[in-house]
Amino acid sequence: MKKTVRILAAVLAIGMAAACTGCGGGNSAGGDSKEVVWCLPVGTSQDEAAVHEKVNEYVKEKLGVDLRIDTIDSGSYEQKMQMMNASNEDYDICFTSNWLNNYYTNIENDIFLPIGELMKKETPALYGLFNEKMWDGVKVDGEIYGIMNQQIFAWAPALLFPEKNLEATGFTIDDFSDLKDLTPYLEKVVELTGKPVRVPTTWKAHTLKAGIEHIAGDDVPVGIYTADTGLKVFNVFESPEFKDYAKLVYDWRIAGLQHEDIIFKDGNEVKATIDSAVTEFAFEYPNTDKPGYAESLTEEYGTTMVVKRIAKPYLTSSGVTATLQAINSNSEKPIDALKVLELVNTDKYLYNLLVYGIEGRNYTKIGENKIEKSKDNVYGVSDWAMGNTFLGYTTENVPDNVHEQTHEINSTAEFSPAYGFVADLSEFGVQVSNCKSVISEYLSGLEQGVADYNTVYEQFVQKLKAAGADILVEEVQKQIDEWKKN
Amino acid sequence: MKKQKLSNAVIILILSVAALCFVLPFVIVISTSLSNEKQILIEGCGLLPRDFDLSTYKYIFDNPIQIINAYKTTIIVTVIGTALSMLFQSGIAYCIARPDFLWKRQLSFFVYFTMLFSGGLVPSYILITQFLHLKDTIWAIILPMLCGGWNIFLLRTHFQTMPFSLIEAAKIDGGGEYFIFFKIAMPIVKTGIATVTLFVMMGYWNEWYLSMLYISKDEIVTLQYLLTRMLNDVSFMNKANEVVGGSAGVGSSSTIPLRMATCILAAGPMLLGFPFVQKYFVKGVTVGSVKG
Repeated sequence: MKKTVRILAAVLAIGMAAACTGCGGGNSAGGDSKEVVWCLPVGTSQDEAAVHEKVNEYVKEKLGVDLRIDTIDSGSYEQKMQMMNASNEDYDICFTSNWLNNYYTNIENDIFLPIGELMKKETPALYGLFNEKMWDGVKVDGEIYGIMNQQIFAWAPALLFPEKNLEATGFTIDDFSDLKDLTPYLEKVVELTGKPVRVPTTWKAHTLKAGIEHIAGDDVPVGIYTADTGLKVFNVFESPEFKDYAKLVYDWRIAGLQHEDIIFKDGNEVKATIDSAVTEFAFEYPNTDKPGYAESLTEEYGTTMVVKRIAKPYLTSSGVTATLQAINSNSEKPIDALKVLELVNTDKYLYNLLVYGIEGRNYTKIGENKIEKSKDNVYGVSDWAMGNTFLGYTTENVPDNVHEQTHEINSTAEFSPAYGFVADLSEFGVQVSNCKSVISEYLSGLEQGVADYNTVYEQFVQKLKAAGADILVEEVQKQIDEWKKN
Repeated sequence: MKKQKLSNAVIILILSVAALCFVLPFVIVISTSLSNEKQILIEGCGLLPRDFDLSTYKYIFDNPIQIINAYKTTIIVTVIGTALSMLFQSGIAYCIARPDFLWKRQLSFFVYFTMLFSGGLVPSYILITQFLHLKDTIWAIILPMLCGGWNIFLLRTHFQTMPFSLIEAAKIDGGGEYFIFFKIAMPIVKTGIATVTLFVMMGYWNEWYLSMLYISKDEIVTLQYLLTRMLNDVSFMNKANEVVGGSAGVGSSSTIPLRMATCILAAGPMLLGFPFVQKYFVKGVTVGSVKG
């Protein structure tokens, strides 16, 4: 009896092992029917099931394929996509950009399909959304791997003030066209209230006004002058423009025109300071102005905000690679996937279905293009993640002509002389990370005038040199000279 | 006498300070979750709620489906996981501890080997999704954590305290292997079982990484992952808003009190439940020390 049990046990064990290996092989291919899988970092919305069903119905009717949208929540999108790519999982389209699911890294690992020629042949409408010059921004080694989600691409430096603060101090928004013009305003505020203002300036917001572009990322100190078609590369933090800026905010601090605390640009904290700032006479100096931004702030802070552009809008390749869709090189139906993207980016009904949901259920129409979201059956995803935002309806607190305004900014923007250039600093990882840590240590003190400019600035420059900033400048100059030749 | 009183007082003082260090952060979390969000941004967190405000909890319980599902999933995973895990782990440990087991050494080595080398993240991902097809099921969370080499060896040590003569005696009296295992061996190592059960239970309750990797269906997300996700969404939205234009999409604006409230809901049950089971642990730990 005991022997039988033992033999039985052995057989069972072997059987289980065999079954497990047998389980493999039958790979779950992306649906046997023609199913296109699209991965997006938007998180599950409450009413998702109903909306996705409608979407699938429409796509099936128009293109004959099923569309399955895999909404991955934003926090884990990066890791999940890395896993999926490393294990060659079957998906067709995914969201990519220069800050999430990095476009360039994936291209290097052959994750994305080059789609330039395919688009011209199969989906000319999609290709026609942007002009040739724009497409150059997403080209790597001459090939297009991603399709831009049309939205605001250009960066437009601006200043925003609560209107009543301006009236109280006797200025108008047109008095300001640069940071230095703010000095009399700050003086007036101290006169009126006896307290200095919290000045939320950052170097990032000021770079374009100063005429400089960081061409290898915000925390790599390598840049060019925006007007320089000769493309001379230099260390941004050694430039006279940066020195002037740092000196200015420091002088403000010394003269008692600036509040002592540093403001960290961490969403909630800046918002809080602006909240209290509405009574404290502060202002906002964002990284970029967007159409409708002043209106949305007006809504949020409960007081009218006025905005003044202080420099011409400027277009960089990082602007256009901020939101892209790419096709997986393992995809078995790239043409179907492209056709789906074309439909999303050109069909107004489908795009709004994806972004806002079903009319009557998730929102009600209160105008030709204006909608009001419902309180129940909540559905909403970031429009910039889906596709052509110009097709979208506008919600209540957004101006009606926001798309026209955006289009205007994009088309009148100045192209960067380095548009299309991508710096490859993968072999200089050590210098890059050293520079990053130096910058994170020193920059916030200098850019808000908290650190003692006269002593700390020198230290900053020395440390940057020691971290290898000059090596990086040289390398990028070399690369850009190469790129210029083509 | 005086000396002892003094040293007692010092010890009590030190321990009180240490205890405070553990308790205070938690008090702050509770008070923040009961505060008004705007006040928090202006004043910061503190021991007392800023503008006592139940709106955060109201917001959570207005749409409780997510939290309820997460609780349900986490409880199921923890219960099933702990039960299965203890069964298998003690089973293996018992076998390795038995002196008359033929393949004792080989099995020990097999277990030990897994503690030294691991295939890595990508191979385990491929194994679970493509070979075992466990993606989007709770088994993807339960199975990977089922057996841990460390726990098995700990249990083995406990089992080894049992004299082999006891097993022989039971056999003579007509006991089968399963009878000996469940009715004789397990009760002897109750303390070890209790300790390992606690570890395993905490492991399952706090697990979020596996949930993140393998679960896409919102209904079977675990509690800790829900919390992590809420925290991550905030930093994601900040990053996105910096780089991307377009109308600010429906960002999950998880305010600070909301995050704190979710913290409480995630950690609360464990914290509340522990004092009740604590006495069993104390009993279990000391019962074997006095030889009757």
